[in-house]
Amino acid sequence: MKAMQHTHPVRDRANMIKLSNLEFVRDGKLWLRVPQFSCGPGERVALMGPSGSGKTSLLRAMLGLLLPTRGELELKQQATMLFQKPALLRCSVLNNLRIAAFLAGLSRREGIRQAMIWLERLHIDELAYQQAYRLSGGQQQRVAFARAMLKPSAIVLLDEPGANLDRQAQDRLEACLDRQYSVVFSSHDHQQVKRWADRVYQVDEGIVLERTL
Amino acid sequence: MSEASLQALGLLMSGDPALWAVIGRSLWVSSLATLLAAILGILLAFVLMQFVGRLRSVLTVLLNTYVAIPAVLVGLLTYLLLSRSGPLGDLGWLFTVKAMVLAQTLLLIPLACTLVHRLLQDADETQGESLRVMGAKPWMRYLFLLFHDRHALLHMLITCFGRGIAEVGTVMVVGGNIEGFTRVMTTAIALETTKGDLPMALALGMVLLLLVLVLNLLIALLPWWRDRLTGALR
Repeated sequence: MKAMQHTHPVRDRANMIKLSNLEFVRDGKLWLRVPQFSCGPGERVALMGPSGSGKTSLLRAMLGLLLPTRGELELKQQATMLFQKPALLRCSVLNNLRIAAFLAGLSRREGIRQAMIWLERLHIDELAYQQAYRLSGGQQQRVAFARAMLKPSAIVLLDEPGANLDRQAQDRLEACLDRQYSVVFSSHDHQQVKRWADRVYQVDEGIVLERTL
Repeated sequence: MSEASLQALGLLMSGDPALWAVIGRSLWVSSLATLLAAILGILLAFVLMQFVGRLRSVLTVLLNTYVAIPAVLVGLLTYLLLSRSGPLGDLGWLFTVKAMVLAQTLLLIPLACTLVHRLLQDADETQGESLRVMGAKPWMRYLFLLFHDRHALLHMLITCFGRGIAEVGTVMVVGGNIEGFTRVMTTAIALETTKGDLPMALALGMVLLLLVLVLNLLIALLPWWRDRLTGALR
């Protein structure tokens, strides 16, 4: 299996994410197969399928959190991810973001500045000093998104981004992800996929195939 | 109430210097041992987190075995280390407070490590992937997990202190229970009881009981305090 590769910023139009003949085996059983998957620069690719079909596992594999049994997986640039469950740390919203900024290598001042920018974009800047665990699910999800975006990434992976969000919050989130980002998102929401995705892959009975929108 | 109990209360109220010196020494030895064990336990837990699969399971079993070793055996091993013919004999620590701190630290390290390791494993399940995606290297990730569950760290400290203050095996063997020098609450209780001086033994027993009660109360209050400060998940 070819390991994940990270190259310098892409100057051509090559795919940002490319998966070929990926297979996942568990307890001796092949449970997910990806013959071919790609996401180009600035593209928005949706992953659809029933719960438990492997959408989240595929996203995790793209980040190296889950190793496929065989196949090729290539990411041209650094990626970040918004998980379905926010998983914020037990501290204030701003401190959650400052930790992300610190891990991204930003200075203290720049980290706070960028954190506030993202909170303002998502209209949750007034929550900066509140304890993250006191927020509603939707608010936590938006904080988690802001935190994910502090990592300089050209690729953004979203696991059920609309799960805890109302339509307005979803629109704001989508508006933040302009065409400078390549986005792969899993969703059950046909409306969102129709509205936002350029291409769709369906996970069906253990195989990931592209289908028409 | 028996006469011995009343006399014990009287001893406590009167501020008997010998009594309070024993109490103070116990608190000092166990506090220092807890702090040292916590630091070393945390470092060991970090190391243990680096191992995966079967190897980690084997190491965890060995660690749990170490936790279960009788205190008097840890005292014996420390005695052998510090005796004149032992590898650390030149330190001259045997039958001093330093020896007692060392012995209790060795006793508490596996308990601290086990509790911290459990904390890290649990927190890593919910927070680990997010921290990895953010770019946290392993030891940085563990530090943030400790920060996330800092209230559980307090639980570890309280539990270790409770174990230390209440044990007699290690401090008796390496300290020698020397009056005015290495005598602590538990060794004093053992001695005074065999001498038949029940008021003194009872007075120390009351203090020990009160301490254990306070510690358990703190442990019981920790979840409430944590939720109050950081807010429970809705």
